[in-house]
Amino acid sequence: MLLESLLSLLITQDELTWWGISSLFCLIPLLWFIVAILLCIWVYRDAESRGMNGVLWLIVVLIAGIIGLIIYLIVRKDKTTTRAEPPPPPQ
Amino acid sequence: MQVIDEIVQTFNFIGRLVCHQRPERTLWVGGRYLPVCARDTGAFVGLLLGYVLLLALRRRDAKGPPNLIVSLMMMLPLWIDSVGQFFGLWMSTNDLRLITGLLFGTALAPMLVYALSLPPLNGKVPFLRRIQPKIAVLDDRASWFGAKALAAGTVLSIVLFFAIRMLEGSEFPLFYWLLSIPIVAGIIWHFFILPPLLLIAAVREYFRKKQSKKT
Repeated sequence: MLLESLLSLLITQDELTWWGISSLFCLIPLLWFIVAILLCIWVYRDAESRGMNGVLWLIVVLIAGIIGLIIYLIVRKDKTTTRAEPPPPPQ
Repeated sequence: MQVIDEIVQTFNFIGRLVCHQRPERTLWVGGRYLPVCARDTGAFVGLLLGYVLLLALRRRDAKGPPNLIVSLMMMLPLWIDSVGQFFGLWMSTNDLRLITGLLFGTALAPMLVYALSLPPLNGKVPFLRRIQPKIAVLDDRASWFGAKALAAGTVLSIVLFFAIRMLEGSEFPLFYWLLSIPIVAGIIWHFFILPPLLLIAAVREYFRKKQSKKT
């Protein structure tokens, strides 16, 4: 109540309600931001594991968002499995 | 009438949380401005169209992601238009904003649902379980939502674009509700229901894995 009355000296009741609800709702879109960060980390790791430039693809996804991610998924290389070399044939 | 005005105000308030609502970029339908701008109108209507198409056209047994090339072709126009306008290269029009938004939203819905099916969530998102692929494998070639389905989405987006354009400028209130209710439902679902659901699903999955490691 005290905080509300103090704030109401600075802004009107309507603005107070708007800012209150907006800031509450801003916490939820913040989750999408966290998802975007996790996505960038995943792209970096995945690109590095496939012998591609992880930093470059991280920047692409960071700038272009979902468009960058789709481009990455299209152009990414297949994972190469390292196999043990077969023994030399008997002479 | 007062109740209707209050509902409209609430819709505008919800729209304001995710959109700039500039009047010159917002469509006038049914005697009122819609709760979000033309681009967002397209995106939210497109998302709804995408979900409907998912119900009908998804390949239940496929594991691969939605066709990436066609998805990119549908999403790229919005990105180019937004970036070009942002850097002052050109000024977009409401028609362009609407059609690019529609194509983007239609392609985004399958991508979003598929992405939620990948680890660590593995398709365990409430309400979406039914339409999510049972197993999602990013490297699998068999597309869960193929090029033909996305092409159908493109055609329907264009049809919707002309339908919404026909409604623009009309004064018949029903048209306002016809568009604003799905838009507001889309905002609430994608911004205020889906993120907490994801968080709950992720935390549940984390504890389930921890439990299974112990036993």
